Amino acid sequence: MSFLNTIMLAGLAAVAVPIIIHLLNRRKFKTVTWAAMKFVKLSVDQNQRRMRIEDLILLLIRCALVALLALALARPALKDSSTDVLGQAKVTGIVILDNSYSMDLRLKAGEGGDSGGGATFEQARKAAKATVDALPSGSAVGVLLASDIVRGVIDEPTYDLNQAHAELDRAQVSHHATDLFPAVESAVNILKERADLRKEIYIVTDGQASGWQQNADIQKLIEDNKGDIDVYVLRVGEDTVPGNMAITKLDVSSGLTPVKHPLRIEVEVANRGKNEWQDVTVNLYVDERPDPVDQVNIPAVKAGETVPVPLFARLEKEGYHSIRASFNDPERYDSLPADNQNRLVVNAVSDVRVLVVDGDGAASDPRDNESFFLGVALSPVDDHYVQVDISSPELLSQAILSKYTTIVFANVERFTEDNIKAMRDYLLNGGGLIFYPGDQVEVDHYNEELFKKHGILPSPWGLPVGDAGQDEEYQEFQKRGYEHPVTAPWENPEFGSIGSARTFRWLPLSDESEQPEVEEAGLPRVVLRYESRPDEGEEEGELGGPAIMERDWGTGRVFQFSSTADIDWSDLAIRGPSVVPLLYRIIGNIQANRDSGLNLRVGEPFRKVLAANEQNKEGLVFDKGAVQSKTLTPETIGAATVLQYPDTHRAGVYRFSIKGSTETNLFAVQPDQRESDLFKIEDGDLPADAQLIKWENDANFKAKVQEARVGAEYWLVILLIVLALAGLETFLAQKFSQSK
Amino acid sequence: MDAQQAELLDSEAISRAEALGLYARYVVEGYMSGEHKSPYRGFAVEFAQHREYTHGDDTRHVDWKVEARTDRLFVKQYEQETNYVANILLDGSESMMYASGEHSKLQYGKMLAAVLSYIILHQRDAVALGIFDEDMKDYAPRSDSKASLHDIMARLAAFDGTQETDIAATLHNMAVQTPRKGIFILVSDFFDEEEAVLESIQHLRFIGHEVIVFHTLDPYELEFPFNGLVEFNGLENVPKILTRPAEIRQTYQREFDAFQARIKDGCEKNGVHYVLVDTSKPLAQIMSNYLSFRMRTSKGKQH
Repeated sequence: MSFLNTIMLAGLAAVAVPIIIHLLNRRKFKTVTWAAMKFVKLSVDQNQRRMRIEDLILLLIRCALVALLALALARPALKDSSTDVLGQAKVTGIVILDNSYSMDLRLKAGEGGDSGGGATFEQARKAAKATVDALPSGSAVGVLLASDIVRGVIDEPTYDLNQAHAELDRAQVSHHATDLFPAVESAVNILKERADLRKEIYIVTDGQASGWQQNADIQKLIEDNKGDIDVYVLRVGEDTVPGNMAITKLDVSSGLTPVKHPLRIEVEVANRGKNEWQDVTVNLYVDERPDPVDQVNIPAVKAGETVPVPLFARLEKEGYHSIRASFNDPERYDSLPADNQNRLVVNAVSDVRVLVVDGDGAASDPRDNESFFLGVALSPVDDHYVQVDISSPELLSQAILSKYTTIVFANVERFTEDNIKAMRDYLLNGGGLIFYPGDQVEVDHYNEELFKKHGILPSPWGLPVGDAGQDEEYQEFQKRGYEHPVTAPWENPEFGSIGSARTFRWLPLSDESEQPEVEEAGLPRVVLRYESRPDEGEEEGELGGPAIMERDWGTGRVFQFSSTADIDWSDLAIRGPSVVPLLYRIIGNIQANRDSGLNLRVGEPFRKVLAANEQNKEGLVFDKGAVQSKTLTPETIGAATVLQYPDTHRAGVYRFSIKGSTETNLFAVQPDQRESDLFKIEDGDLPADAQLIKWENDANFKAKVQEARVGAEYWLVILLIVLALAGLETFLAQKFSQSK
Repeated sequence: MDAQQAELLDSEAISRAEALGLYARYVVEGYMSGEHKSPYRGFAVEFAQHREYTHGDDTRHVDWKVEARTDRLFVKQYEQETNYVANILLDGSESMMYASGEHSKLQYGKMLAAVLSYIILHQRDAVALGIFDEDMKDYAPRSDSKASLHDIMARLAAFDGTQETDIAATLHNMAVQTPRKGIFILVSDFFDEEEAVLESIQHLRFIGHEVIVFHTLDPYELEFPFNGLVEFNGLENVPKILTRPAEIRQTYQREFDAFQARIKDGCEKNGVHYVLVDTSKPLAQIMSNYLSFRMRTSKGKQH
């Protein structure tokens, strides 16, 4: 026996009320001076016992009335009762419908519903609707769409089951990955707040293993609420693991996208099935033109293997371009279309302007200047698309800075307040700064002003370590485990090696410094780490402190090196295969950041920072395939005014423009690659306390759920007893008060 | 009791002899005259003779001619006259103080005694009045003088209820003290030992007295009409009782009716006139009912 409204049990204390009234009434009487006492006494003696018993009976009935009423209000329920006294108890159910993109898997004919060949999601939709139909009348139902995010389309359970049907009809597959834990957690939280007897959660899913990555947490959640909430896992789709090839990555190698230059596009092809595929052809398309601009053939992709391949494209015009990589014959490999292609948006530019502020630029031999190697590395030929200007610290001003994509400070001693203000304004407008140390820099000034006070530097610089005057003791860069997008390409050995550059002297950086409280400053991230030289007999050294760090500041981005731009402390500057792509990727990263994230993962909101003269402008977004545009209104986030579009639940290319402007931007939403792994969770690995129901057909399912749903609330029965007792009380009170 | 009478006789008036006397006269001469040929005929139904003067006889009725001849005092005889002495005994115990309406049983009894005294004295009969509880508290010796009426009224008016009752003892005493045949008129609620009371009445009858019992009861005592929770606070030092009277009404009425019936049966068995007096009824009505009954029964005896 459990109570759904336990607070009402406090009403049992009201049992005292009839007793108190009884006692009080005994103190409220008329006094009559009387002569014929003998006869009263005789009559009382004859009736005393009977009257006491009658009084007791009435008192007991009244106490029982109050107690039962309190009991009824507390809504007692027997969960495990096999007899359902007053019909089937109402249910409050939450239907969690998995709408991750694995649900888009096309089923073999005959399995997807009436006509056959539909998507798993259609089957899931039917199952969800059958679940709603299986609820006893008077039930309430909520609907959550679950992927790695939870969309509560009905997050407050409704008694209008037609509305639930309508929402299920409207539900669409997203291109999110699956993680069922947040949805189960939401459902549990919704149900916990409800004072209902039967609370049920129906997880309608294809059983993809990645959806149950937090299986232990889900199991714990179910276990913690066992007895209160029943959980049903409703598996739809095929039991077997279908083959699945996916294009899991599409990226511009350098990060810079100049026009009329061949762009190297990094593509990864993954085989997520159990069988090897041979002769896999990947095409590269630009701006959705019908003919591919490049094509690559991979002789074989083994089961579980991921193969990186480079493709090349050339953009002829400045501006936004969409790039798409897709399989030549996707139908050949699998039935899950969403990951058979991937899209990328790039902003092509005619040139990239970089300003190098040289703190040590007065040498007679230009090669002794701090900026010499930077200039050579970034702009090897005169008409190169990267244009490098050299300046001295004295000439800095906001007007000059705004012309450049990136400003490099190399061994600059210190900055004036005006310099710092100019930097702040520049960063607020999406600029990029790169700081190199050197023997000129006043470390304390940097740490105090640029780190602590303004939070521009990602890390303070430590005291110098190492001796630049020898070549025996040095550190190298990390040779594995590149996590930052700038260095990630080196994870592919074909991209070359960065690890062999030697650093003899450096100012240590720390990713564990106490961070200044500056609103504009984002969290610092490590771009590249040092690695100690391996000991004798060892192949790899140990990862050390950060060599390069970065942080977002305002809408701009700041990179900080721990060693010099020239070759005074490090030989990185003369290691062309390393330094050139590294610098290009850093500048490309700054450029991409400036473009407000043109390539988003599903669910990641699109943001456009508005310039000072656009503060009140609205934006328009055309969803992929959508006829109507959606209007975005300006929002203030931190110090910036932005237009934000959060509904990026489906992969593809979206168009964006600012109202009143003729310029149209593009941005791409890429599907979550984790979802390509279609391996299923074994039935036995599902949470032990959840009841598994395999979808076969409507009727069978409905019966299965109803079979599991036994037990009932008893408040109505008790209320009827209360009514009967009230009637009995009235009758007896009248009967007893009759003269005898 | 009509409004005029009620006005004449409010509770306060009963404690004034004049008012009581006036009331008695009013009842007898006014109201009753409209209903009977002679209101004086109630008790004087025996045929009269000359009789010797006894103490208490009105001297106005002495036949001085006979005295002149015989030197003995004889009282003139009238047709209606009897030589009965009516001993009116009024129960003055505390239980008689009970009143649900305007008048307590004692007050009603006083009025009854007053009216009876008035009637009897106007018939040239003698009246003796005794008011008792445990013993005789006040006693007006026999007198056939109308002048004594004032004394009787004064005694009635002055009396307040007192103690517990002992009717039997009072009647036995009276029986012993009154050897000459007469009428005993007993006004009481008889809330006493019933057997002893009936025994004492039998004693009076045995001696040869005529006994008339006016069983004086309050309508609430007859009907017991209380509702709700009531604490009955006993007169005559009986412990209090808390009860819901509505629920025991039938039992009470049954017991009370039985009690009344026992008194009545006891009386009738001994040839005693039993008159139930409901204090809510007009006294005149009770009197006229009784007197007409008495006349009828007396005429019956003559034939």
